[in-house]
Amino acid sequence: MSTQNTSSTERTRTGEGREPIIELQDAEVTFEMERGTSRVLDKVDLTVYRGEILGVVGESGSGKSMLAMSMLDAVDDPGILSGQVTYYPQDDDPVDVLNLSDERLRQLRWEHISMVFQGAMSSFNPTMGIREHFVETLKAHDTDVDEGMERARELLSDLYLDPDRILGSYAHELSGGMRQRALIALSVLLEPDLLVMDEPTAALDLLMQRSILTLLRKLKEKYDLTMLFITHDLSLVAELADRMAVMYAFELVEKGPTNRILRNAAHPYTRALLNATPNLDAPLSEMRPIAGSAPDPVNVPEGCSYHPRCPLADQQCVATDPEYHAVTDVHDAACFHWEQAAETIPMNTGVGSGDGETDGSNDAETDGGVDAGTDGSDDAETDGGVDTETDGSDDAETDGGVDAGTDGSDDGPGGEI
Amino acid sequence: MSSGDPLITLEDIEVHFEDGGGLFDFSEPEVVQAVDGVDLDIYENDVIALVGESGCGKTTLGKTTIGLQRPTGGSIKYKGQDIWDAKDGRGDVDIPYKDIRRRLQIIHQDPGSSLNPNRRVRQVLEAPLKRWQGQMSSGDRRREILSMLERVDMTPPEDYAGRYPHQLSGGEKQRVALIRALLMDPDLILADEAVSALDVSLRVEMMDLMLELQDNFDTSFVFVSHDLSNARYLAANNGGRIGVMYLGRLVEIGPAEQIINDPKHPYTKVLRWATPDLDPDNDAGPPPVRKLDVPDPKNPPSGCRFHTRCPKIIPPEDVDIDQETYNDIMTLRHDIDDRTVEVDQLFESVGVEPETDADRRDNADAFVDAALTEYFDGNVTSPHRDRVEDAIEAVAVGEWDEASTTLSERYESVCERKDPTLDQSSDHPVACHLYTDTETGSPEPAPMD
Repeated sequence: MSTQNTSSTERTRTGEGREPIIELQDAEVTFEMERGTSRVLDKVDLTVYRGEILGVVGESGSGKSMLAMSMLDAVDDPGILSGQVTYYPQDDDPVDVLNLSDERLRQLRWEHISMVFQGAMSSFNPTMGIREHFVETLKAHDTDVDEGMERARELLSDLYLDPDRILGSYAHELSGGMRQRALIALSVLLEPDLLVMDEPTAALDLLMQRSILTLLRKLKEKYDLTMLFITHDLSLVAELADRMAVMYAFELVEKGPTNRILRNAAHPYTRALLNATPNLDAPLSEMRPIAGSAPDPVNVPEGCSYHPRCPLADQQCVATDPEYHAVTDVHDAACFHWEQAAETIPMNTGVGSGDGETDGSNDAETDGGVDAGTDGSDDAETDGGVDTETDGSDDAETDGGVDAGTDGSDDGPGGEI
Repeated sequence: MSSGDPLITLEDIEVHFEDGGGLFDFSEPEVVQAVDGVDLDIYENDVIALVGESGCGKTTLGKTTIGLQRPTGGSIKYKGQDIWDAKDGRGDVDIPYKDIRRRLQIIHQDPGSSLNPNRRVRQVLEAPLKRWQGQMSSGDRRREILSMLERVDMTPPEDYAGRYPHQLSGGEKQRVALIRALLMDPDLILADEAVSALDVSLRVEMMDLMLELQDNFDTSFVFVSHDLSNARYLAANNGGRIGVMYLGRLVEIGPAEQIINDPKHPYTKVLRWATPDLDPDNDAGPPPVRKLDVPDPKNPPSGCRFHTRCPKIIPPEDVDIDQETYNDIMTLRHDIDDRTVEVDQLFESVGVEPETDADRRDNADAFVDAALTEYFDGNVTSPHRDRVEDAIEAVAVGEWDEASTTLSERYESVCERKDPTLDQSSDHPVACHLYTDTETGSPEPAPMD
């Protein structure tokens, strides 16, 4: 990470006026196994800012669930969690999460930080009606039941559910999509500030998945929530998150605004992952799997853990674990060769340009990434104009093909004005 | 890539399940119409992807195509031989059932549970060879298995042959299941959500493998998936088709790229909407359905089964109304017909807790205002407003039937009255009244949208 930034750019880095809500520093989870020490979270630093939706993407077994567990000090024995987890309440002193009493931790978990996992079936007690789950949760946290149930009904309506029907049912009487939405309502019942979700839409139909994303955005605005959304499915993060972090082999290899990473991922793994994600826009012939397979947690390669699969790897990558390099003020990649990534690994996803511009300073000037909003497209356009690389023509072709095939043509002109 | 006579012919297939009515349950069993009136031809070296939401019948239809599910109506033929006649020994059987059974194989969604945990990969793969190619020497069998493992990149194959299923990753288990199916020398493989359980990043690899093997072995695939991008990848790469199912009906079918780039049925457009892309500029907007949840398949809607959720439901010809208002009226109508209007909440929202009919009558005006806001954001103009107010007032005083009639006599749609048919004479048919002249049933130009 570049450290010579002035304090003003430091402010930009963290997002002007943005305050952290939770911070992981040097978080590490290890299990002692017969075969050796299994390190399933490897010195992870991550800050979630108040009011944002942060997406964490990682394949099965990359350590992403451990990341979620660590935030709530919920790593099961015999796993050992070390490092620092700090929660910053709105108007109170920072909380050292790993040194809380059981009672304080219990309060923190529902009233400040709440979690939703995949498979709502197992989160609901099958012998208890849905209404009881809401009532019991309110009672357990000494909250006024009438007022709380009023809020429950409103939350259920917000999620396009019929409150009477849902509250009057048992979990098994509801469809998977209804159960998962009911669980989301339950998790937001005690007005937490932060909602941590681990694959909350897995095992649901795409229509329900995507609808839930839309509803989550709505909930976030209405109830002023911060969200951490963890999934193996990059396209969900692309849809939902303001900012994203990519996990590979128990480490975060890239962090930055979602728009920027989708257009111009700097880490070779992220680029390969984008190329391997089935979608409707990319030319079929250009979707390809990632060569090789992910490492065993007992036996993670030395140096950069991605080097055995990486077309850019050289001696340095084998010998040394790369620090974060600042691609822009708001975008970091743990790769020595991030400047060459775009050329070596063209992106086929049919969006933006595959040109990994080295002029991070330009981007920083426009501050495009900070608000992860609509200005991402402006940057892309600028990049495209500046782009003199040989692969520029390929990209243009790809874009053209996409526009013709989908309603992208509607967005195209708008984005370029 | 398909050619010649169909390998499999489905005609007017109907699969109805009875639900409930157990040993001590003497209530009338309810019937789930899992598949209803489906015609489909599958050719040699063909790929068909069936897509739709959970409970749309795609898996049941898939199982019917490989003779694992006996239809309750219609017929299924393998190379002209009725499969269930062959099974039951009815009529002149040209192709014995046991031969048919062998040529139609399946790969399940969950590779873990489809492999016997107590048998090594070698044993799993030997079984079909022993059964179907008894003349093969054990040395040949061994060589065949190792070469197949190598072919699917499970190297060194000797190592993998000696492993148990729990020593394999999800992707590797799925590859073993694929090899096992291929060793039967099948004509058709049903892949039931075969890549859904895999990480997104591993799906392309698995599908590439399926395509490669299909090419080498001349096998046809029926691929069942809820994910349009996977369906596209598998079907479009081989000139295959995508069939869209909704509540037991096949509502649209055609060449894969046409379904993706030129979806016709409003429901196919919904699936298109639901398929995420990686374009940060593309704001999908709200879902293009009036209701998020699928209706109960035990009680499917009349006419076009999608009409209760369809954003393009067709107003009666003689009613001058914009689509948005009509949609809102139809949503109100469905709630009234289902008695799911939240009467208590609406009264409560205007500060009333009615105890008697008189209370309800006295506060009906306020109730109407609240309901108009709830269903129409207050935006409904004459002449529709008067009729809507009458209906809501009837709801306020508990006259549900009157409310239903008030609206249905004016606003009944052709979509709820007539069942649209899928005319398979074209290569991209769609079962939707928007694409047919409802009086004559002949196609009319596609509407603008």
